[in-house]
Amino acid sequence: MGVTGSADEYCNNLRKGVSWALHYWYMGQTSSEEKAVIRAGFLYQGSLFQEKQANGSDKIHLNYLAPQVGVFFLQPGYQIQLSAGAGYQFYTDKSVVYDKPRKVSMDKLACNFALAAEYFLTKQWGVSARCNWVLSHSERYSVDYHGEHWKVKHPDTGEGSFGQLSLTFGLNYHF
Amino acid sequence: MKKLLYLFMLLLCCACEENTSVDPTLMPEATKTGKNTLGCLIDGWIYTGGRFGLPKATIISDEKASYYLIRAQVDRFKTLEFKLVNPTANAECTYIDAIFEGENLGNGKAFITRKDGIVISGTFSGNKITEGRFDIKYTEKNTEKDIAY
Repeated sequence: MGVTGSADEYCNNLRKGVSWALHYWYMGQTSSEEKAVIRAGFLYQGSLFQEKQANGSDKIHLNYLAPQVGVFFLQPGYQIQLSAGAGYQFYTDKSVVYDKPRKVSMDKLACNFALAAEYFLTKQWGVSARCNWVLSHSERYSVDYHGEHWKVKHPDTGEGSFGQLSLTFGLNYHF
Repeated sequence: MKKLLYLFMLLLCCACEENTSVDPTLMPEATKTGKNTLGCLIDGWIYTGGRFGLPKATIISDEKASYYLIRAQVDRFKTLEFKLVNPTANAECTYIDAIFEGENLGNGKAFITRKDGIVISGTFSGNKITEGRFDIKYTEKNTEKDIAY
């Protein structure tokens, strides 16, 4: 939606990108007898997708911010986490068409669901793997091109449902 | 007086009806199926029809030649037009009197990919215009005769 190419191959290549994330969870006090706890947290996730073709290119930046609620299943040495949240996704596509710059913006509400596992290396440090799914929908976007600002609603090239599935590996520190 | 003012404002609104589903910054593909599209680069910038009304093809005949006037509103207040001279399907022809924002962009070449009384489509370029393409439905009734240009 709003990208410079419509060919299947181009769109498929554009779907592959990299993402990074920062999580914060307030864990409070947890007794050793508790097997599962519900906690609140916050998520920032950034992503970058880019692809080039003969007459243009797209460089899409996605930034997602959302408060989170998670269920932690506690085990000795590791924990499993299921979490969900709703927040805002900031979408920017710094594209080029026929060597001229073009910028597409599409900020919208989004939600996410995640499954994560953490293995404790020490009492404070842990390593984790997280599978996160961010969902959003937009039927409009804005374009800045050649000094003009356009709003495109229900584009004839198709509306956009975004499902972003990411797998991230991280290092966690427990305060 | 008030009624006249309202009427004038209503006319203005009708005149600037905008199809917001069209992204004018994306070049339409070079098709020949009657999609009613027109797009080109002028000085490297994309201009397309469709957002402010569909592009039109009008036949103008005189004793010397048959001209196809291609006209599209490519912005709120900008129109692009040019005349194809004796266009024939699957052949190159010239276009003359390309006018954009009141400026004469001169003549150029066009290649007609379809012309069958229903659809006229092709590509065009010359001087400041590059990568031009159009795909327009028309009828032979859209004819103006003996118009002097």
